[in-house]
Amino acid sequence: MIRQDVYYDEEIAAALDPICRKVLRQHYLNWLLRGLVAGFMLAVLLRLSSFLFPWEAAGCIAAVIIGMPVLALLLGWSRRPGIYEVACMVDEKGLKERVSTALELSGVESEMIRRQRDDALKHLRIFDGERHFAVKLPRREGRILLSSLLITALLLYLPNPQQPELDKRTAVKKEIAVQQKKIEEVKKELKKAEQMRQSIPRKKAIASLEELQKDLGEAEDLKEALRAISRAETNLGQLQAAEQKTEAERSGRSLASAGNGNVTQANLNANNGSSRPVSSNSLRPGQAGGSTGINSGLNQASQAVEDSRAALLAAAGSPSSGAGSGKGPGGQENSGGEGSLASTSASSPANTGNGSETSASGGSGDASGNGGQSGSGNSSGSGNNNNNASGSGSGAGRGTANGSQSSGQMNTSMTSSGGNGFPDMNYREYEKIYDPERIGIEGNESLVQGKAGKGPEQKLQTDDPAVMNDARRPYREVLAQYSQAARDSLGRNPIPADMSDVVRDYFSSLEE
Amino acid sequence: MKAEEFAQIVQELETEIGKVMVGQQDIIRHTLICLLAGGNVLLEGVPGLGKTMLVKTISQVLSLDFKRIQFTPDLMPADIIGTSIISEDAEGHRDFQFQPGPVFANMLLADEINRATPKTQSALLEAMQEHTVTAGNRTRELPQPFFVLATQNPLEMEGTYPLPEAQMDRFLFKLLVKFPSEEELVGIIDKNVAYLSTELSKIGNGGQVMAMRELACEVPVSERVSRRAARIILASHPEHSYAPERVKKYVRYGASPRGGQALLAAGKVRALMEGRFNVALEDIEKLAYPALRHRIILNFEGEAEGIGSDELIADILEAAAALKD
Repeated sequence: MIRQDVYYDEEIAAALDPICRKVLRQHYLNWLLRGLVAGFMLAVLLRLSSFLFPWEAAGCIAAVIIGMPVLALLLGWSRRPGIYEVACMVDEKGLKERVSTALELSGVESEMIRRQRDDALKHLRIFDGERHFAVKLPRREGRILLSSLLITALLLYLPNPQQPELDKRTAVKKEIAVQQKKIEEVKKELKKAEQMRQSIPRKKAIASLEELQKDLGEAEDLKEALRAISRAETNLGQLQAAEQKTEAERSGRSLASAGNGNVTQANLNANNGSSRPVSSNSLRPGQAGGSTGINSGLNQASQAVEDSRAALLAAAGSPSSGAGSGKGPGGQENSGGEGSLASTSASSPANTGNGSETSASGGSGDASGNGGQSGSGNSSGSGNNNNNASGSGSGAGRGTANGSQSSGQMNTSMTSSGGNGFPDMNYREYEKIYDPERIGIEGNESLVQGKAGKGPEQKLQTDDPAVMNDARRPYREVLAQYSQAARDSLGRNPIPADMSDVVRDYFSSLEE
Repeated sequence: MKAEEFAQIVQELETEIGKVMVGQQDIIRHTLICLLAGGNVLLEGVPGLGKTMLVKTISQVLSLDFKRIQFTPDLMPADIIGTSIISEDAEGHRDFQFQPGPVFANMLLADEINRATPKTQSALLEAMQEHTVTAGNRTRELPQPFFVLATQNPLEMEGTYPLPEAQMDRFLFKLLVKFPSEEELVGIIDKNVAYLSTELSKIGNGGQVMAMRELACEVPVSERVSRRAARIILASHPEHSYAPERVKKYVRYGASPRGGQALLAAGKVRALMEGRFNVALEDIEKLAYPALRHRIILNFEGEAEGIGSDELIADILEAAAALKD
């Protein structure tokens, strides 16, 4: 509809009406083309930017291509010509200001003005509006639109170098949603247990899981999700360590009260010639004497969190073998923060070593000068950036399937990788721990060279011939001790969270 | 008078004058426009181009009283406006009697106006502006219509008194009489030298000229056209933002508001001549050259570089048209 200006005359408006329609059609066509040109040019820019930065541009491109013409039409509507403007356009086509003058003077009466108006109407009626105002495609906009279309089509056809990254992000987001559900299930179980018997550690674990769920929901990328998982792991690890310590103290008291004088407080006692694990009253990770349920709940929570990490890394295409969790050396995440590196997963029996350069845990010190008695000593273990297991003695692992060195000795490093933040995995350099008993194959014994670490040492006098004559111990026997020592150390010392994860994961993987 | 009559009379005038004048159609038309707009014309051209003949012919076909003054350096104002002389009546009484000068005519040809002294020039210019003459203690009205066609010789400017800018402003148009083309020259040469013997029809008279002037004043002008005229005048001033680059560089003074009035007054006459009842932008643009070329004063750089006013007017028109309404 034509806009009515300050000047208006019904008769002239009626005479101008067919021309007004044509003018409006051309006007909206021009604006539509401008909108399309703007939309496609913006789409080209967005597409180019999506080549440089990994973001999902498709939606924006579609919105821009559709939205800009609509916006342009709205703008065109607000700027549509009025009747006076159309009159001026007609005057420019040969009527020599007749119509515009008549419109301006439409309210004035005089002989000359009446003659002028009649003259204007006469010329307007014979004016060939069809010829002068035929709807035409504007050339300039047409050319620009065609160019933009071609460029857009070309860019859409070209593969997006950021597509793998985008796919990864999509997969990570989906996996986050899946893991949130899994964590929800674990949380529900914990809540059920909590209803039956309340405990502070379990409550804290539930809170930790809830916080993890929230953080995962807010996480925008893998890096943030892994950070959230690390925080949850740290919290749960601390809860577990505290719970185990409590259990250890409880067990220690109960053993002492049962008259077992050979057992020290710290309780990393060797068996008396037996390679059986120590009594059930002794501390072993995950086996709290009086609070098995709490510990198992905590373990369940930890496991769920670790599984989340592994699943996210898998979704992101992290080639962690055995689905390891764990972080990079020194507790730092790898470049790009995308992933932690490969360390082994706790769930796989065929563990690889932690890919950390740091030493694992282990007790330090030796036992009575032998090649390594496992067991005594708590080691700090952490903070040593060497490749040796600081544990004492041997026996920290036995046998590898592939002839690799014994456990705890990690050769290699995780290097921070490049590009997308994932580490450059070179698994051939990792030394893996295989316990033939676990995987049911025959293999060579895996020996660990004991080396005194920096932690405190504890000695225990023993006449056990197995110990005296042979420093080898099945790693399962010493594992609990080493594990506990490591956990205690983690709880006491200020250790970076990532490093704690490494240690924790390492022992978790051995335990399975 | 009706508009149709107006156009018809003008058409007949042009035809009749064309019998005597060969070529110079633009000059004839612009002179008629100026006459009917109530203005005066300054003609600039070398001798022998028919300037005198043009004015004489117009006066003939319109039955108007024609006088010619040849300006010389010794011409006095009294030679133009008249003077009082002692005269004796039949009874022997002596009294001062005013003898009107040649200015008391309908059409006056002031030939080579730049040869007279400024004092003499101003006497004529006052008459042109006021349409009255003051002599002694009495003011006398000049006959109507009163039309002055002044000429300047672009050659032999030495020892002349160029009209000051303020005085130039009083002429509605300044027309440049170009040397005729070959065809026109052939026609001129073929014509009998005794052109005055050619019988010319009387197309109109003074009364009709006045009626035509009144009719022209009634022609409406749209706001758009008035605004364009105003922008043209503003764009002629170097200090204004509308002024194009060359105006800023070569112009000392731009056109006065009288230039805008000249545009519209002449535009109305042109519109009627073309059978229209309103002034068009085209009228303004076509008449800008004769109406403004003598009102734009060049600076030293412009004069040194020989910049013509018409070039600057073309730039001004382009700049004014480019401005959005």
